[in-house]
Amino acid sequence: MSLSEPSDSRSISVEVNGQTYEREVAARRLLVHFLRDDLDLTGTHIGCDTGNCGACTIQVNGQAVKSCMMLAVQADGARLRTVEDLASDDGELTPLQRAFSTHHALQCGYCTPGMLMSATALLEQNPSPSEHEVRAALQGNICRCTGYWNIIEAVQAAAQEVSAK
Amino acid sequence: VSSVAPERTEKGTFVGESIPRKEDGRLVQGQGVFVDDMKRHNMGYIHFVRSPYAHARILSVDVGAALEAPGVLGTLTGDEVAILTEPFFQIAPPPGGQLKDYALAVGRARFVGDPVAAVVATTRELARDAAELVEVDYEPLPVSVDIMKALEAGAPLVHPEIETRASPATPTRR
Repeated sequence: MSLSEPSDSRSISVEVNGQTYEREVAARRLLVHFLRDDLDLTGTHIGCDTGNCGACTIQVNGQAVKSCMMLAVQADGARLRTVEDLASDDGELTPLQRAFSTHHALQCGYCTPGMLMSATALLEQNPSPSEHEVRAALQGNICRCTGYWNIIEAVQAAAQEVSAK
Repeated sequence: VSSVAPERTEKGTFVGESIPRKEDGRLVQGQGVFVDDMKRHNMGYIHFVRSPYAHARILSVDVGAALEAPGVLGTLTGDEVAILTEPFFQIAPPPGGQLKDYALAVGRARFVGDPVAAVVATTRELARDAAELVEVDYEPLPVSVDIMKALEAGAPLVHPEIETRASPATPTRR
């Protein structure tokens, strides 16, 4: 194939939740569709597919990223982490996941994976964030059920639990 | 799947107790299985054609080219939805309860992103491609983006069949 001939697909290699996947993907395929449709990781949700709602947030090389704003081919060589990777293999929840439940930081649960991934990235970089820092980190995540207060309290409670250990 | 809720050892009355939710364990692990998470053999994919206007009259919707596009299984317009379905049940008391609201915009788009037509195809990408071939003729209408001004007499109405958007309980501007 000559360089001038456009290709509409490409082979990529990505590490997702510790496992390496080599796949041929359409050049136009969004990363979120690659995760949900090709890898069956449907914990990452699509709320808008226009970058507004944050339901599709995952970690790309540790950074919180809206996976509807990235093409799958752009993730070639990257290390991805989705909500499915938070709890341990035997189902032990992270302090953040537990805190979301105990503080009633979720109702329908649709935004929750994105909230958890944004907050996880925050706590990795800033283990004891202020309320303002939590709000800033979650400003790209929209929730229609719980009104944010409980989500912020849950993130701070998880931070305190981890730092107390 | 672990449960967030501890086992209940005593039979409580629920009154005055904090009752842990049973569904949290799966929801915080991305195992909610929402409708969009389900896959079925031979299932089609839908893509919506959405209004670029906050308020517009829908003069015509032409799905002819979309229907001819590769992989397309069918299309749906607001006018068809109005024939095929009953309006959504309205909870509000009159006059709000009198409005007719459907799954697709019928005759009028009322917000940016209001779904005007739908295309179903064999893949997500083919549905999206075909949706771009749907021709919608809009006549833009006046909008109000200030909630207090929207309450004033003569402000553009979202549902003209309901003459005001102020409910009897709406405080008037002082």
